Amino acid sequence: MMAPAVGRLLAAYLHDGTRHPMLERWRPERFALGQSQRREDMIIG
Amino acid sequence: MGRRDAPLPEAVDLAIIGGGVMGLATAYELSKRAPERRICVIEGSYLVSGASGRNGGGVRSQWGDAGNVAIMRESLAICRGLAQTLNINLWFRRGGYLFLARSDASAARLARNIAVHRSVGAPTEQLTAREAKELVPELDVSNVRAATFNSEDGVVFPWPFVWGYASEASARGVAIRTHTRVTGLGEARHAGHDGYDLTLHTGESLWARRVLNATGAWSPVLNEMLGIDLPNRPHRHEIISTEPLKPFLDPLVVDLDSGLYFSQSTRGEIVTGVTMHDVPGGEDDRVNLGTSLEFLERMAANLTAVLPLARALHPVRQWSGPYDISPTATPSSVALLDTPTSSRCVASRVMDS
Repeated sequence: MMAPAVGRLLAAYLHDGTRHPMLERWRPERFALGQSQRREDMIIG
Repeated sequence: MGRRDAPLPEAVDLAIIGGGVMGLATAYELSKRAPERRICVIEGSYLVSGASGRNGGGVRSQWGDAGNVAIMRESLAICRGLAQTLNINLWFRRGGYLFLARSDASAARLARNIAVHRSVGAPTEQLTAREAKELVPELDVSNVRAATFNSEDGVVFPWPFVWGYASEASARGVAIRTHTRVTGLGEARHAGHDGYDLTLHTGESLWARRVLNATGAWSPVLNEMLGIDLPNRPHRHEIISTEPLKPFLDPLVVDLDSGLYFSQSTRGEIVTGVTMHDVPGGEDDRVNLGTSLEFLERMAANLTAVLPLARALHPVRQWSGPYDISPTATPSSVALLDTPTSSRCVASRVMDS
């Protein structure tokens, strides 16, 4: 459950524009731009 | 907390669509930082009706990507004090996560992951099969090649997370409306600001300067209203709980080769699921909350191989919930629509791909 940490990151961004590096990594443009990103392979269940 | 008749302002600084743990955690955190902001949360059904109320409650740092490991370590640190902060019992049990590998390929994945975990300070240990059995004597480890264990990982009861965040956000002035679907979302100016008009199935409408689409696997429906086509799709995961046993199992155990996981709840039930790449009824792109005999058969075959005492157990409840999966199995922050300009930019770039 990432929500407790990610909720803080999003709130910080919404409050004063602070962009955590993970929010940058998760920008959707990566799909359009063909940016390679390691696939998370530890999804279980 | 949330109510179906909670009054909604005509205009807000932030409208969060989706009353799951992601939306409510953000609402709570922002309401602490900026109490002057007008924030509302709109949930189409009841709180915990979505993925936040349908998962196994695992909180682990044992991921394959260093960034994900670091974020999860932050979540674990927050969880340690969150019950006091939210004034609710989260049933956070820090029994650790025990991963088992039964093939050379899986053993290699675990070995690689240990290096990743240690690079960001996670205390994951490499174990032998014998050491894994010392942790959980009831396991059959006859085919286990390698194992890893992280004592910081744990399991929570996910529902109180949602209720706790909702209660504290509500106490800080966040309006939380349940049982209300957003049927329209479009760009609109209000009082000289760019923003969005939201139309609700009740006939109401409101304007929001920003919108957070926190509906997870349901997010493509809202994205479509703005012409945004992202490659994330829902993937159904089933789960069961069994009749209860006397407590014996501290860690959550994962069999990496089959994708089986199981833990023991505070009520003694074994809560377990297994990876289904070929989800029955999962051919289309819509969320499907059904259950299947195929899952039950696969889960039972894998569970009894790893935990032989489970042969005597009966399932009590079977349900499902959606994962929201992207091609890289990583999140997308497109859900945050800063301004119509940025959403149009995202939409055009993604749709051109």
